[in-house]
Amino acid sequence: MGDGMDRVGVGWRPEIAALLARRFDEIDLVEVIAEYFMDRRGPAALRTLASEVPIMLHGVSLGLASAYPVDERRLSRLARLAEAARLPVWSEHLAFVRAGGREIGHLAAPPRTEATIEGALRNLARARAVVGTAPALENIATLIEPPASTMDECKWIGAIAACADAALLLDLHNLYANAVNFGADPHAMMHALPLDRVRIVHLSGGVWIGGRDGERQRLLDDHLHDVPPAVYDLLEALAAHVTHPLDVIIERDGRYPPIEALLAQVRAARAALARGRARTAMAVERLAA
Amino acid sequence: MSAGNIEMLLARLYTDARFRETFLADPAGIARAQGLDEREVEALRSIDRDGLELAARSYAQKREAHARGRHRRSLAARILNRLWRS
Repeated sequence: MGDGMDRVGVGWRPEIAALLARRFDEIDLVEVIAEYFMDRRGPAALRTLASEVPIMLHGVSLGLASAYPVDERRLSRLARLAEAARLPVWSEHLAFVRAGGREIGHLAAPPRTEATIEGALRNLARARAVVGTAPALENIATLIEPPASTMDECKWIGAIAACADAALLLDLHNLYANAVNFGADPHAMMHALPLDRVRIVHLSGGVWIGGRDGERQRLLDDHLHDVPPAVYDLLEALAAHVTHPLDVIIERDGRYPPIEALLAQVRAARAALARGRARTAMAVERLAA
Repeated sequence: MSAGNIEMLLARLYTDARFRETFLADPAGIARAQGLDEREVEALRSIDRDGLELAARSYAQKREAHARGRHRRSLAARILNRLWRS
């Protein structure tokens, strides 16, 4: 992570790789999806990319928050990648992605219980042993409150992060979507998390879905839309609250806008960070006066 | 391993439309048959049906997108090799 400065970058995707490579001077870092680089040529390709721009490694398929043991083969591949590109910082989601031989195809929220905390801690201990470092843990978006939960999302995440002594990757659009979908205040929800552990931030966009036959509309975090103003507001509030540097990544997984529009979101994130840091600086000055 | 059982049940509900229909006709019965405890059975009885349907639809779209984008892994390495060789 940064040496005292906030950094802002984008999620590296094959579809925008060529356009992005010409604009590396306008971003501070990229985040790569580990699963894109797990074939034979992956480690060398990742080393090449790391020689051009600072990178962070992001996993999407380990399924750490599960009663089932994490897949050792996936973990070993991820460890090889982290070693090849000398990447001490990596991240994964607090989610389960498969069970009983079924691949869900995406991140799913397990019931938030003592049992899934224990499962996540076992898997995190294993991940730390194999990769050498624990991942920064990312909150996920969900369209359904996981049934049979005995605690709220913030308490559940806080307990896992504290027991594992892990950093957090705070996805502000995931947090925003869960808040608006389940009747919480996004800012109150963010402040209920252990923000001193947040080192990485994701920003993305989504779309309202549902509303058929009287069903309630919900915000889907689809990574196909621009970052909404409410999410920049959360970033500003986060930057005003924490004193350590943050690495912020704009995520986009399709319907790519012109590269200029993507870079405009990088600049908007930098502006939100600057506003938040200025608020803190002003508060400190007032106290000192 | 009730925590594992409920994950298994949710994974099936998210990926199997016919099973989802069967479940919604008798959530408590199916939950008991999956080995869930009574607290979990009660929670499943009052499951958020709209949320379940929307989540299942969203996961189905993700699986389709993954199937279309399987080439992305090798594409990533190929693109990087091409970019820095040129």
